[in-house]
Amino acid sequence: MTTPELDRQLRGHYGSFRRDHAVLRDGLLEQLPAENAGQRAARRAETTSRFFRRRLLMRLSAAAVVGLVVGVVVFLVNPGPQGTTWADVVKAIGPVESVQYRTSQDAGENQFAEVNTAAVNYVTPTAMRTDTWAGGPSYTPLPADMAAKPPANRRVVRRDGNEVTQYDVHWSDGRIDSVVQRIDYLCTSCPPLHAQHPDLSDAERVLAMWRALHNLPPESVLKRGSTEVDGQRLLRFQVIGGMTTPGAEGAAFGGFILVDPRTKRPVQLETGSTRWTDIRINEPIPADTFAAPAVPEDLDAEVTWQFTLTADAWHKPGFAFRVLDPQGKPVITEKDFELTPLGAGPGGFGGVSPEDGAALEPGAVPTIVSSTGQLTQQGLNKLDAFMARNPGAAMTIEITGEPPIKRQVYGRLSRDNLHGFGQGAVRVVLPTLADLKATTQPAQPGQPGLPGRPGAPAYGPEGMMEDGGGPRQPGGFRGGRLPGRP
Amino acid sequence: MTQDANGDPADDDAALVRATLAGRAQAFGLLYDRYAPLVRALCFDEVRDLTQAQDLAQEAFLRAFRELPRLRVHEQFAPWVTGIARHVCREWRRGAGRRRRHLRRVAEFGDVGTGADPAEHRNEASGGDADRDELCRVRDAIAALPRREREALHLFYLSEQPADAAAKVLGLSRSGFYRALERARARVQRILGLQRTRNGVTP
Repeated sequence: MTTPELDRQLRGHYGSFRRDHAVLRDGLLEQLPAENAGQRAARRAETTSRFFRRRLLMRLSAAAVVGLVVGVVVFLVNPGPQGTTWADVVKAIGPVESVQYRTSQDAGENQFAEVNTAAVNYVTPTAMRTDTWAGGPSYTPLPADMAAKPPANRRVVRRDGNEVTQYDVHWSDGRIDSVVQRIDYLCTSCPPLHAQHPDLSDAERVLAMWRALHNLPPESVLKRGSTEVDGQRLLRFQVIGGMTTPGAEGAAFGGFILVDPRTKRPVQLETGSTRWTDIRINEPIPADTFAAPAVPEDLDAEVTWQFTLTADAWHKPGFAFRVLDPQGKPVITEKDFELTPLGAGPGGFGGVSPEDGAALEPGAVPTIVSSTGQLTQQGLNKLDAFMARNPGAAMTIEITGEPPIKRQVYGRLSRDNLHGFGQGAVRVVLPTLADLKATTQPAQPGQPGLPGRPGAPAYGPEGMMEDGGGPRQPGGFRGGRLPGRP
Repeated sequence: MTQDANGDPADDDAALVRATLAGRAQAFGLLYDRYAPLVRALCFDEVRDLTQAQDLAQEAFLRAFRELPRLRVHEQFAPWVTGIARHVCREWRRGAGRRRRHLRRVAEFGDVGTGADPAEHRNEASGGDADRDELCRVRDAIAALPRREREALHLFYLSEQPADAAAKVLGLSRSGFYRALERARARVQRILGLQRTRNGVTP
């Protein structure tokens, strides 16, 4: 093919793009908007400022979003453990008001495997709840069905003014088979020490421990890299020396705290053989967590009461103790109680020192001594009959020198033969003012002291000394029991 | 072609753009005269259908008119409007894909054709079958060129601008433009020669 021939063919081809040009041109010019481009340009110039601002904002927003996404991605890909200090963790925790955590205990791979337990704990300054499941594997998340499956036991303890109420609920085969309510009342003039309840003391110590972590000096914390737990990488801090870890007091090794790098909050605690998981600090706890458990219709809750008052007030002329029905009629009074001086009861109250009981010689009854008391069988029957006939009714307890106590009938008085007497469902503990004053003095090591005395065994809900008369370890837990440990 | 826009002495693109912005639509008509064939050729490269290429070129110029206030460098009208044309063609292709898929689905339920095939629309050339065949061969040869060479060919045959201005549209120097043009012509010549040989026609 020659060049002129090629040129002819190309011109023939390109000529087709000029075909109908005039018609198309006229058509286009007719389609042009009536408003000319220049006018629109001028108007746009007038609105440039607003337009610019809008576009600027859009661009800034887009840049911010992109920056945020990049930051989040970078953070997720590389949590930056090297950048997280204990100070960051402390800052993320903030002032500790409540703690939720999970504990587990392993009985090992043996015949006791069925006693493996796991517990979920809720702790606030005035309340504590522990739900315990039996048979759970050790140191692993709770079984998936735990949310649906009721626990084996639930203990709720809460303080309302002068009262500490404890509920113990027990499940068997998925059904509640017992509910126990125990209420301890402490007189307004009694030292707060008497208000100590084992679980609430533990709760206070749990909170105190986390609060103490705020004040740890930098040299008390070591960064120990990170570890992967259940697919999640957690930062590892070791707290050394000086840390008051429950169950590990005084040990040079404080414990390891695992921190979520994203929230910078502790999620696990390992100290000695104890391991807390799923730690949630200051997360909201539903109000009904510490409410009185609902009692099934086929069950009566067992109720026990204990009042700690002063013997001086009890024996003062004109003293009255009355439980009133809704109409104000007394159901029982102080005359329905049978008192027993400390150290003189049958079988004794183990742990009372000879020094304390030496003055209580037969025939030489002191005017006022520390004593305990319980309802007579007749008084017990009267109060129990009232409760059986008036479920849910409001009642008032009047005690001279104390504000009126309002309670609601919750169940029936416990008929357990708690102390060999059978009437222990409603008890009074009556230390003298002198003995109360003595409670401010520490007991000698190895020497049992008076009820409530620091370093000495205190009265438990049943009025018995829980630690078998042995001295408590300073700052330790009763019987070495860790908070939340089943 | 190089007439003034309503008396403006300057007939370069920038002056015509300014005149258009000043409200003289005829100035835009002159820009259209200058670049519409080129834009149609570019659209044809994309759609291989002359009627469709004309429609797309119209759309490109309409958008250009609307967006003209955004053109900051008025001298760059030619690359700018060809860029708009390519964008319009891309949009059309995306829409065409959807249309084809839709028609294919409809065809599955009834005896409906699957729509336009660019190859079916090559018969717009007037004249006999021989002319049409020759035109188709030329178009196929041009379609086989690399983009840069093809556009150089378009500019040479369709732009009434001097070679310098045409080269600027492609972002080439004058010599670079001519080299691309020569390569394009040689390649088309070779392709057409091969086609003739294949069809039994002596070159």
